[in-house]
Amino acid sequence: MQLDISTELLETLFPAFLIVDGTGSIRSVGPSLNRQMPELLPGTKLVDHFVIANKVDSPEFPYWARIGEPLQLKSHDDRVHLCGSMLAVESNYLLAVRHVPPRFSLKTNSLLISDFGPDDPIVPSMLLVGLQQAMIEDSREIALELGRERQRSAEMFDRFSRISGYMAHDFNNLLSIIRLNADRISDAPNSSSRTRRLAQMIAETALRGSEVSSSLMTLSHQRQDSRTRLEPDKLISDNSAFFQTIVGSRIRIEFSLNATGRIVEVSRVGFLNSLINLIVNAREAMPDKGLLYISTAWSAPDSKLLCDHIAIVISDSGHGMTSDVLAKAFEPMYSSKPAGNGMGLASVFEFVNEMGGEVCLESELGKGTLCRICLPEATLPKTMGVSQARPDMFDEGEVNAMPSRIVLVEDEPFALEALKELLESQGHEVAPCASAKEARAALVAAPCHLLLSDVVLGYESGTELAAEACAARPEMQVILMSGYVPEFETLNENWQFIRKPIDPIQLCEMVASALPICANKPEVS
Amino acid sequence: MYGMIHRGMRQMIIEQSGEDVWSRVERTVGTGPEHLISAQTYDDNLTLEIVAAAADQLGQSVPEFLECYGRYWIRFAERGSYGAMMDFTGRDFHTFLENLDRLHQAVHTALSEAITPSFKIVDRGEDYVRVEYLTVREGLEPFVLGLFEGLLDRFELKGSVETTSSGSNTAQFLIQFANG
Repeated sequence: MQLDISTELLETLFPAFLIVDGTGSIRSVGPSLNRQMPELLPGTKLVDHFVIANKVDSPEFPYWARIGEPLQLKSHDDRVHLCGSMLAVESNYLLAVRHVPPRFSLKTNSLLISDFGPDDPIVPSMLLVGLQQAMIEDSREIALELGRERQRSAEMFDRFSRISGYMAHDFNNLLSIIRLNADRISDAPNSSSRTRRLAQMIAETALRGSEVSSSLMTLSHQRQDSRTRLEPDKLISDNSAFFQTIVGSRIRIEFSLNATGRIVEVSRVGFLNSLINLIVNAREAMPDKGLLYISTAWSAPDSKLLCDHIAIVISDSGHGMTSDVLAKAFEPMYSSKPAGNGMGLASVFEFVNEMGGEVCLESELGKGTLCRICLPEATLPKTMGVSQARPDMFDEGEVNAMPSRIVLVEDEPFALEALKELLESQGHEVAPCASAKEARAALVAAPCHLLLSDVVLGYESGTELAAEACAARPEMQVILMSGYVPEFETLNENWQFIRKPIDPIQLCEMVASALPICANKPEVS
Repeated sequence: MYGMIHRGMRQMIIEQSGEDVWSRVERTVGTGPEHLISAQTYDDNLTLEIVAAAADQLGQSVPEFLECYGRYWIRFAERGSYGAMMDFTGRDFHTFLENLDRLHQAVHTALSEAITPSFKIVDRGEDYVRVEYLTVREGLEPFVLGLFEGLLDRFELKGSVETTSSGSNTAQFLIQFANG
C-alpha cells in the first residue's frame, strides 16, 4: 500500500520528525526539532546528535534499529528525548518520533504545545501537571491570606470586646450609683409611700439597665472567657501540617516539643495567631529556602518570668534584622517590609503580655531571628471568689457581723457617699477614700478589718492596692467591686468580688461573711 | 465562575485604586476572603454582582470594566502561577490563539465544572486575524475583547481589536496589527 503524505501534514502530525538516508545522514527535520536543535543540519550524521537509547542489533541498515519497532533517541546533552518508530520511505527512513519531556514541570521545560502532534496525550498531561502546580502555589497564598484575615478579625473582635468592656464598666458604675441612692431615698426615715414607690421604680429600672450592660459584658468577656487551658505541645503538633502549608515546600520545619503535658491558660485563638504571625515572618525572611525551628520547654522561675512557665521558641535561618529594626520590631504600625502592616509582632507582644507572659526577640543580620515566648504554667483553676451568703446567718436586712473598721475606696463621689451611708447603717466605722492614695493613708492611720475597693481607681488599680494592703496585713479581708471583671491572675483566692451595679443586700451579706461574727475576733495590728 | 476570576479582579482594583475601593466592593456584595479561593466554583451571579459593584466603584460601565479586566487578566495570569502554562500554550499571538482550545480542554479535565469558551481562527492575513468566539455564557464579549488587547500587550504587538459580529453565544473579533 502506498501512502502519500504531504510535508505539511507530516509537520503537523509529527512536528519532531526526522528523515535520514541510507548512510545515516539527516535529510530533513521537523519544525519542532528545528527550533529545539538548530544544529541538526541536513548532511550531518544522526548519531552525531543523538544516542539511540534502545539500540538493537540488526543485519540491515541502520543496524541499530528495526523498521516498525519502537525507537528511542536522546540528544547528547540530554535536553531532547524522542520516541516513536522508524519507517522506510523509498530510499530514506522516516523517524516518526515525538517528544517525551524529561521533566513534566512546565517551568523547567522549553517545549510548547506546537512541538506536539494535535492529539498527543502528552499535551493534556503536561497542562494538568502545570495546572496542579499552579493551584498548589495558589493554595499557599490563599492559606496565608486566610490566616491573616483570621488574625485581623480576631484583632477587630478584640478591640470591640475591649470597647464593650469599658462601656459596660462605666455604665455599671452609673447604675450602681442610681441603685444605691434609690435605696437611700427609699430607706430615708420620713419617706412617703409614694417616694418609696418611685425609688423602687428607679431601682428596678437600674436593674433592667444592668441587663443591657450584662450583654456588653458577655461580649467583652468573650476574650476573657475564651481563655482555655491548653497544652502548647499538642496545639503545635496538631497544627504542624498547617504550619508547613504556610511556609511551603522550600522551607523545612523542625519540631522539638519538650513540654508534653504542660498546660497554659490562654486564649487559644490568640496563641495560634501569634504562632502564625511568627511563622509568616520567618517565611518572609527566607525567600529562597531555609529552616524553621519550633521548640518548647518547661522552665522553673528565672530571669525571664518569675513563675513556672513554658517557653516556646521559633527561630529561622533567614536574613535576620539590624539592631535598629530589632529595637522597633514590637512597635505597632512599624514594619521593615514594603507591604507589611506593622501589626504582626505588635499583636504577639500584646497577646503575650495580656496572658501574663514575656516575649523577646534575638536577631542578627545574616544570622536569622529567634523569638521566645514564655507563658505562665497553669496550676489550679482560679476562682472568682464571689461570695455566697451563709444561709444560716441572717434574715434579709439583718447583719450579724461585729462592727468593724472598713476602708472604703471608690472614685465616684455619689457611689462613695451611698456606700458609706449603707455600711454605717450596719454599724461599721467607715473610712471613705476617693483614691488609692487616700486609701493608703487610711490603712496606715488606724487598724482596719476590711478593704472594700473599686477595681478601677482612675489610673490606679484597686487590685494592686489590695495586694499592698494584704502584704502589710495578711489577715486583712478584701472585697473588690467593679463593673468590669478583672484579670483572673490579679485576684487573690481569698478575696471576694462583687459586680456593679451593686445590690446593697448582697454587699451587706458579703461584708458580714468577710468579718468574723464570733467574740474572738482577732485584733488587727 | 472560578475564584481565580475574583482574585484577578481584586488584584486589579487594589493595584489601580487601592485596598479601600476593594473593601467597598466586598461590603457592597457581601463577600470575603472565602470567595477568593482559586479552584472553588462560585455562582455566576455572584461574579456578575462583583463586576457590577466594581464598575460602580470605578465609575465605569459594566462593559468598560469588563474590557479593562480582560486586558488585565492576561497580565495577572502570566505573572502568577499560571504563567508557565501560558508560555507552553504559545510564544506568539497566532500560536497562542491556535492552541487556546487545547489549554481550555486541560483546564476542563482538571476542573470539571469549568465552562470554557472556544476560539477559532477563521481568517488571517498579513496584518490581521479574524477569530470566532463560542461560549455558553452571554454578555462577556467586552471581556474577550479586553483579552485580545491583553494578548497584544503580552506579545508586544501594536494593533486594535473590534467586535465585528455578535450573536447568541457567539461573536467574531477582528484583530488588526499596526505596522512598525
